Amino acid sequence: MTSRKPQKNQNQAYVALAKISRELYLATSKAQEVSLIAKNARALAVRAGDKVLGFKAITDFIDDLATSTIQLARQINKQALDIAHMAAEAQRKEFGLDQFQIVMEHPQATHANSITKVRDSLRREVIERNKVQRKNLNILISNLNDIQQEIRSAGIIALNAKVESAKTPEYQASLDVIADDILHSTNQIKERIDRSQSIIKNI
Amino acid sequence: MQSHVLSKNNESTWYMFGRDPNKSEQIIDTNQYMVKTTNSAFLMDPGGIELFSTMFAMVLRHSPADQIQHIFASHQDPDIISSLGLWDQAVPHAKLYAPWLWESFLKHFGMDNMEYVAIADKGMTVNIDGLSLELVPAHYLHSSGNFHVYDPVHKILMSGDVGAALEEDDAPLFVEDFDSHIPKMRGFHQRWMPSNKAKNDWIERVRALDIEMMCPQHGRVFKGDDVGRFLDWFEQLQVGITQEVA
Repeated sequence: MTSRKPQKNQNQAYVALAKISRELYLATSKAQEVSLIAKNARALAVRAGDKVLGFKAITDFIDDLATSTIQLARQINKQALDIAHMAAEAQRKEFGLDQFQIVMEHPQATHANSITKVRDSLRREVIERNKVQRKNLNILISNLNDIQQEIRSAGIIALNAKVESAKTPEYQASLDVIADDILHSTNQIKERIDRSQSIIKNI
Repeated sequence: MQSHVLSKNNESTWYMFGRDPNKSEQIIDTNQYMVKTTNSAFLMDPGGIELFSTMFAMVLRHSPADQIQHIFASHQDPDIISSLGLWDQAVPHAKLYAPWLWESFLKHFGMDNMEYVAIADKGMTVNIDGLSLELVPAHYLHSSGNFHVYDPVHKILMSGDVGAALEEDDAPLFVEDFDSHIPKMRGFHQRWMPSNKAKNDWIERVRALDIEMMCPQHGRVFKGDDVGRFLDWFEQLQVGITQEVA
């Protein structure tokens, strides 16, 4: 009988990918919050005029990053769901392969050899599917790394925003709250992406 | 799983598969049937995913895989055909004959290769190597889209859930004493069969057939006079929504 291990792996794969999809959905929601905060900050900066030019530039940049993060997170989410779908399909094929092997070893299956061709074809398909899945998972890992990099940048820039706010005592309290909110949200996004990366390592 | 020859002539053989001692206790025991001709096999209600490997092995005892060209699903229940996704991989060249009503539902079990032959409500005839099998309407018995298989040569009616009995997994294959068999059938038919009208329509249709053996999907096979006894008993039985179940 063929090993049950690949089937278990497929089970883990689509459960894990569903979990990653959830993390990315939550990360997207947070990125939308960051984008909203950045837009509000930009409005405040416009009202404050030249005194907070540096802060305005930062909020513009963070808004762009948030928008980019949302797009990337949605793209990765779709990839994760596509791979989960493929993993479920692969699990079905591997289960079929296991079943065929059991049939072929059954003492009463006089005509067992008549399914050799189908079994071999299915085995090749399973091997090919596993290769494609591994490739897709690598792309997913790479995209998660990209998004993590963007979030790190947003975090650093949010820290810079705090430095900028200190230059304008008149607006410092408001700008600090904005910078803290952005920092807090980007940290939360980072945690979601960290969790996704951790989950994917175990597939 | 056991395999029994129900009827045989020079051109074709009816097999019954069931009474699987290795089956999980948590799933209902089912009878599967197959008509094997010289070059072809017609598999009826091949069963759930849990018993696929055993069932397929038993089928391969009598037929090579390439001759399994026809699979019939009387209705959509899991104990009838949840193995579809595996049969679809095992015999991709085969046709699935099933009620038109359930086509988009049955495909949830996975069907990428086989051809779905949608049986119209009025039924149809399938020719297997010169043997004509009639797919007889049995709607609402119990499923809203439901068929049975009648073989006028062997005079066998595969009657799906009609005639089913809930009893021990190692029960004899044939009804031996009709009266003592009634308690094993009554509750099942009262609860599962939803319509007296559908029941009576079916009885009228089936009485017009020459039947020597009636083969349900659960329980025992009716032979000879027990077929008529069953029809009489079923006719007087009130079924369906008139029964108080809550």
